[in-house]
Amino acid sequence: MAKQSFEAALKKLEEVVEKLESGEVSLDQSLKLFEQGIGLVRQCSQRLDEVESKVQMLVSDERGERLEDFS
Amino acid sequence: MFDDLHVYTISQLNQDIRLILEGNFGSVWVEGEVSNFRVPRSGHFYFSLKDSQSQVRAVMFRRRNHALNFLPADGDHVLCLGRVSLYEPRGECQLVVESLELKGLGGLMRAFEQLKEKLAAEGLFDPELKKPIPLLPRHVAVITSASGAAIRDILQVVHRRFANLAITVIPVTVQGSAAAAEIAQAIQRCNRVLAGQVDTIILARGGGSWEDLAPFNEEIVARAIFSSRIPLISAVGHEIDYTIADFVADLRAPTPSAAAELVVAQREQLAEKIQFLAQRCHQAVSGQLENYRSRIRLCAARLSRPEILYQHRRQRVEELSYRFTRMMTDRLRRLQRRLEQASRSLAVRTPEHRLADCRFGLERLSHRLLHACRQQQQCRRHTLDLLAGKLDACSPLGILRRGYAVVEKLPERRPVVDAGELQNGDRVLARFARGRAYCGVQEVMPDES
Repeated sequence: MAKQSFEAALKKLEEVVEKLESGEVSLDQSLKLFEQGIGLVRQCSQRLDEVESKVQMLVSDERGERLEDFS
Repeated sequence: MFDDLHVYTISQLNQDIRLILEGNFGSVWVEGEVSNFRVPRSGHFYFSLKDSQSQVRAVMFRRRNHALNFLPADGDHVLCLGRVSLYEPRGECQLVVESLELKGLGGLMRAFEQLKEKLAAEGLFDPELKKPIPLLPRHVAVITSASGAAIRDILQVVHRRFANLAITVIPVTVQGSAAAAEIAQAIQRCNRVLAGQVDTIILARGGGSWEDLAPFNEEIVARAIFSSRIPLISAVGHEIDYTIADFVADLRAPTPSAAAELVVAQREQLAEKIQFLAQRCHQAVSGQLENYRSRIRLCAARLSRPEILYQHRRQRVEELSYRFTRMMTDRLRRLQRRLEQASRSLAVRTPEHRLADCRFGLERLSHRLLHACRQQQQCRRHTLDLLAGKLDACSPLGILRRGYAVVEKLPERRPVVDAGELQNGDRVLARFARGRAYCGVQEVMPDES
């Protein structure tokens, strides 16, 4: 699956769940949808967790702009 | 001696005065009240500055007053930086104003309102132009004082909530005359240097007086916010403070902590939402599978007992045979009844039967004849009795029996019907139903008619 934005993945996930809940899909289709849904859940959760928690400061001086740890 | 006299022309005098004035004073700060303020078509500001005793003329040329974020008015208390000079054509001393700022809270408020109106008219507050804050900010730039309360508050919230969030602080001065330009620059730098990394900017400052928040009311800051391609949340001062920056920002948080909560809480809600969607995903599929499973179980159960398949046919045969026998017995019974009826009516029609019938008729007729004769006789007797009764009622004896008497005059024994026929002393005979009496007339009262 191509890397898509978090917003797009979440929207897709909502659509998958709604389709599944409608009960209007064949068994094969619903198993495929389920797989897709679980994939999207994993993808969204990862996106939630993957950001590294760090605090930096943008410093600009004669050497130009750079990032330093903020304490 | 008079030859040595230097006689000035007016122009020369004024020019010299101007040069002396300009040479001696240079730039000066002057504070006073604006009066006679006017702006002719040239666009220059002409006004007087005065205090309680004196006044001086002042001019602020267009290229200078252009940068002003408000329009001065009579009565404004202002602080001006300018050169002292002389307007030669009139020989009037004047202050050529380079910069001008309002003193006092009222002035600041008015500058605020005027700028707000102007920017609103230009569409800087247009809700349609506001950029959406990303659902899941991952890298937030905080433009604020590196040593201020605002950044401490924000970091505290982020740490307390264990939020995975990259934060880049862009330190700026948030107070004083240089602050506005620095803040505007920081927004531009962030857009330039951190483009593609930072997805949300928080512009923050802790609480302070109205004057302290002044940089956030400057046009240069407003325009920098409006031009930012990265969505910006303003979090300036306390909840009750509204700055121009708040109006232009894509989102306004009441305080720096609130801005951090907004960014972080969003994450937690999303995590919950994803969890919920995953649960629904499972439920939907397991529900569907369970539904199929139970349908299969039902079919399997029916296949394991083949007798069920022909049970209802057997039932149908039994029902039909029952109905058949019942129909046949009904029919036999009906035929039998008809036969019995026919034989009964045949028996009634024998000659003995008819003879007996005739005899019975004869007896009834003779009976009726006898009865009729008897009735006739009774009827006549009754009529006779009736007539005898009537006759009896007519007899005088009958009348006497009802209490009347017959009076006869003596001696001739003529019935008296009129008292006028009698005289006092006459003798009469009264006859009753039983017996009679001789009577004497005492007083006659004939009818007067």
